[in-house]
This record gives sequence, C-alpha cells and structure tokens, in this order.
Amino acid sequence: MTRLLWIARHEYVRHARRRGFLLATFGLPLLVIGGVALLILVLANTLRPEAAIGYVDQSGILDGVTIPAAAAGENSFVPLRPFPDEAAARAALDAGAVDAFAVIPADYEATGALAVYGPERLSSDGRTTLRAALDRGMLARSGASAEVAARALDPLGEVAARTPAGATIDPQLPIGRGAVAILGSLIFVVTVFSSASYLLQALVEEKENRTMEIVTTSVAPAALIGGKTLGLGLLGLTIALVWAVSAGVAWAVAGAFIAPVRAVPLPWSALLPAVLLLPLGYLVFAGLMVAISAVVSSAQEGQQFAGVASLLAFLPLMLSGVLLAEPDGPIATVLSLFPLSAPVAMQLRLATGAVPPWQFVLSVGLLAAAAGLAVWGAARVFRTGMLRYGKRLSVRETLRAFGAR
Amino acid sequence: MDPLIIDQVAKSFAQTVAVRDVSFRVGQGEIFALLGPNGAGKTTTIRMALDIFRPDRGTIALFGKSPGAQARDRVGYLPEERGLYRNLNLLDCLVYLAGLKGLSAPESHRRLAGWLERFDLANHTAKKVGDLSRGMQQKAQFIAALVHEPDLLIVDEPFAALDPVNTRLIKDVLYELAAQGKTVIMSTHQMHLVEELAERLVMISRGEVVLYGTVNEVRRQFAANAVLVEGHGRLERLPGVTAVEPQGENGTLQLRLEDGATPQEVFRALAAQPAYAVERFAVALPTLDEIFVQVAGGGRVREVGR
Repeated sequence: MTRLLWIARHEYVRHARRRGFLLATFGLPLLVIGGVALLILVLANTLRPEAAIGYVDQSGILDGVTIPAAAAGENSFVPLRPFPDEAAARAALDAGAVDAFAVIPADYEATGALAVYGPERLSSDGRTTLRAALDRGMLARSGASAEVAARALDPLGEVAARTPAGATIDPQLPIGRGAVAILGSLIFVVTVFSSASYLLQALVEEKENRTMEIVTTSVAPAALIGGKTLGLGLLGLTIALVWAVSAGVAWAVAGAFIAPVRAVPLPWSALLPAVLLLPLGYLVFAGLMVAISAVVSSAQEGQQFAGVASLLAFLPLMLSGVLLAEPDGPIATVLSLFPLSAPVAMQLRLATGAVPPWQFVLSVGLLAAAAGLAVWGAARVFRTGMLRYGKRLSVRETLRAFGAR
Repeated sequence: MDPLIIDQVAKSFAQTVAVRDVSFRVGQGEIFALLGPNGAGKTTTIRMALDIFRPDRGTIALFGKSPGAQARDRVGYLPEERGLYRNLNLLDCLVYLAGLKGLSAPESHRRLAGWLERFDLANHTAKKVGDLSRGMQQKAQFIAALVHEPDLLIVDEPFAALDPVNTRLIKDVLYELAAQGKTVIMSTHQMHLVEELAERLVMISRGEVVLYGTVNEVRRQFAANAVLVEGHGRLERLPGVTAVEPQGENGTLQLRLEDGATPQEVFRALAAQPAYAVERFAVALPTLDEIFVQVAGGGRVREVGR
C-alpha cells in the first residue's frame, strides 16, 4: 500500500509540474472567465441604458401616463421627460440632459410612425420604457377597464408551468437541468479522459524510456498500475475541480450582471449519481488504457487505440440533443446501459428525465462488472506486454495473456 | 543457503524458445558471471529470476523461495536496457526509485548523498537526467540498483559506456559488496573483466548451459596441450614438443606438446638446456574470450562442477 501511494504521489507531482498540464488546467478556465468578463464589459458599455429619454408628444397619447418602477431582477425603466417642442428637446439633448428624445407625431395612432433622435438604437431598457409608455397611453385611450389594461400589458404574467402529471415546475428548471447535465458530463469526460490519457502516456513512456524493467522488479504490477491509476485519477479530478469551480465562478459573475442567467436555477443534486458513476467509469477506461499501453509499441499507436474507446464515451455527448429531447427513448436507454457510454448517458438522463430505478441499478451493475473485468484483464495483458519494446502484442498473444497465471 | 538456484528452467515466447534448459546456483558472497552470446537467453533467465516472467518449466529459488514480493527489496538490478526518467532531475529520479524499494525519502537522501559524492555526481543532482552524459546516467542507474543495500545485485553490462576511471570505481564497489557477503551476478561481454572479477561463471548458448564452473577450472578445461615460455638463448629441440610458435612481439614462445607429454617433463628438458635461460614458464591457458568464441561458435557443452 505504501508503494502504491508513493507511486500515486510521484505520478501526481510529476504530471502536475508539466507545462502542458498547467496550460490545460488553468488555460481554458482563464479563457472562459476572461470571455465572460469581456462579454459583461461589452454589454455594460454598448447596452448601457440611457440616463433619461425625452419626448415631444404631438399626439397627446402620453397625457396622464405614469411609468411604474421595475420589479427587482427585471429591466429597469428609464426616466421619461416631456418637452413642449422639438427645439427644446434638441437643446436638452445637446446639453446632455437627455441621451435621446422621441417625437410622437399627431397621426401616430393611425400610422405608428415615430422618430427617435440620439443614438443609432435605444438600449433595451430605453425601448422597453418607451413601449410601456405607449402601451399604457393607447390602452387609456381605448377605454379598457383597469383589469383588462393590466392583462393586456402583461398577458403571460401569471402562467403556471406544470408537468404532464400536473405538478408545478419552474419554467427555467429544464434549462438549469440541461446545463447541469452537460456540466456533469463534461466533468466526467474531462476527468476520465485526461486521467486515462495521462495513464496511457505514463505507461507507454516507461516502456519507451526503458524504466519499466526497473520499476517492475521493485513493485508488483498491481501496485504499479494501482498507484498510477490513483495518482493520475486525482490529477484528472484536479482538472475537473478547477474547471467546475471556474464554471461556478463564471456563472455567479455572469448572474450578477446578466438577469436571464440569474433566473436559471441549477439543480446540483442531479450530479450526485456522478459520485458513483465517475470512479467506476474511470476504472473501465483506466483498465483499457493499461491494456492498450501493454499491447502497443509507441505512444502514437496508443493514442490511436485510445481514440476509438474515447469515441464511445463521447457518443452520448454528441447525441445529447437526442438524449435531452427523449431521455427515456431507446437510444438513451441503450447508451445508458452500455458500460463505455453509460457514465455520460446516465447523467444526461438523470438530469433531464425520470430514469426507472431498475435501469439505474442495472447500469451501475454492468459498469461495475466492466470495471472489474477491465482491471483484471489489464493486469494480465500488462504483465505479458510490459517489456515488449518496439513490438506490438499480437491479438493471439493478447488473448493468451488473459489465461496466463 | 544459496541466494539463487535455477533448476531446469525453460521459457518460450510464441514460437520462439528463449530458454531451453538452464540450471545453475549462485553462492552467497560471490561474484558470479552470467555469459553468453546475444540472444542466448541470459536476459530472459534474469527476468525469470526477478519474477518479471514466469518459467514455463523448472523451478527458481530466490533466497529459498519462489521469486515474488518478499524478495524484491533484497535484490538490486541494473538491466541491460538502461532507463531513467529523463524529464526528472537526477536527485528526484533516484529518490523515487529508492522509494520503490521501500526507502523513506529522508533515508534515501542520506544514502544517496554518499553515493553521489563517490560517483562524482553530487554537482549534477539538479540537472535533468536527459541532460546528463551517457556515462553519468550509467553511474546513476548503478546507484539506483544498490542504494537500498540489496543482498543480491544483478548487473547487466555494468561497464558499458564507462571510462577506465569509472570502470575501476564500479569494480571496487563490486569487490566491496562481495566482501560484505553480498552476492553479485554480472552479465557482460567484456571477458577480461570476468577473468578479473568473477569466481565462477555459467555460459548460456541457444537457451542451454554450455559452460559452468569456476573461471580457473573452465580455462584449464579448455587449455590446449601447450606451454608458454619466455627466455633468451638458443632453443634446441625438446623431447615431447611438436611445434614452437612465437607469440606476439615480446619473444614469448608457445610450445605444443605431444599427446601424453606433460608440462613438467618439458620444463625439466628445458632447464637442462645450457644454451637457453628460462625467465618464465607457464601452462598455456586460453583466455575466456577465446573460450567464448570457441563455445559460442560450436555449442560445446562443458560442466566443470562447482
């Protein structure tokens, strides 16, 4: 056990110090956070609401109209300032008292024609304010009752979203669930593939640089493989944690500045099954990588073999559209039971739909069996192929290795 | 108890027979030479002794038991295929390898300090292994093989890539280990070093033992019926001598003897010749190099006993 931990520590530290690892771990999150910051900066500068908008109402439509204060979390209304004529409004614009002014002609009600002077385009808040004022003005002219006017101003204000069974749900929840499902799957994919890829690289490297012979005369193959699997698994987890924390920070920062982001709830509990799926899935891929490292003669060849296995795990993400739209469909069900694609497919299904308990249990059972088989087979193939320098293990030799003592 | 006993061991890979039938014992505290031409099965035999491969047939006893986990820390190994972590600095690399043999990091540092100093590597510990010369890497790997103070050290071509000064250094260490009661198995093609260092040897060819015994016994077994003579004066015809052949430039003569003639008879006849003064007289023993060429080429089997 001590040797296993010694190897795990060595592999973790050795890889964590590499420039490539630092770049992969911190480069992308920095890019994402930088992108979010840039977006906020751009939004803040280009879509900044006007301090005040002036208007010249030649139609009299806005007489007596008052604009209510915006509710928290919604767009805020821009103060509207009336001017008796266009010259006064223009003078106020020139003086900076208003950022824009609108001229509502006498025949506005008939033609809808309206001129806005100032910026090329009003801000979202500015447009909302002007629209709300005109809506209220026209409703007042139509003589509608206060209730009808209120409904007309916000006809979908009291919508209740319900499941087919009738339960109330938050309409933003599916978006949050999808986001969590994709995020969970990405964490799995990042953890497993970076770890498995490092594992393959480390083992093939030891074959290529001939350290394997010294190492295998010092520790049992099980301790060697176990140590590397643990150390590099933690390395992958480190990448995933850095990415997850970065995503959380980016989400929180974006939420603080962008209202629609803030409105989406994230059901983090949907990620709980990952605690079970992630280590089992990693063991399956780690076993495959160990076996591949023993069979191949070079790192390049190893990556080609690994690519095929990775494709199967990526498949659910590539088909995420189908899985999210039909989480109980046959494609989603098969993918969530097949061990190589199960970790990602099952997470997508769990986050978006109700998975029958027997399917979840069967999926985890198959995954656990596959993990056991992968580790058992890998140890045997590894023992046969670990010192096969520069020569690939034949299919026959590989199969014979399974039956070796 | 002999640290290593190999008994009728065989190992094949697919259609290739690597070791057909190999048996030998290595005694405690001796320097034992494992010889053979390339592809003879030496490395496979070593790997079986170290539990890297398992034999198809036969038995191996390492410290009295089948090779396995219990013996790993008692064995040091310098494989023929040299390999270190090229991207690590020298000290980190050696500390890691020592850790694999069960040494704690502080203990590794303590022991390595002495060895690195002795092998003139103390000023290179911060360098990446890949930046060291081949000779330095060789010395570093030798240190890695013995830093945990193994009872059995197996070294495959330990003098490759070393200059005479470092060759002397390695030889001294091997002598010291043997003097401490540690066992050394050395595989090399440098036969003069085997003659100098080893007490006994086994030679494997085509997967079988073709020579086994002490170095002196093996050389005597292969001795042609001849003597070497150095001296000056005129050499008359000697009874029992069929031919006189000059050897090299220093005036040494090789006298080939008739069947049945003994060196003692020839020496007496030589001493009786007044015109020739004998300065050196020796039975002509072949070098291990000559024996190697002869045996590896002809597959002649000799077992001279222990």
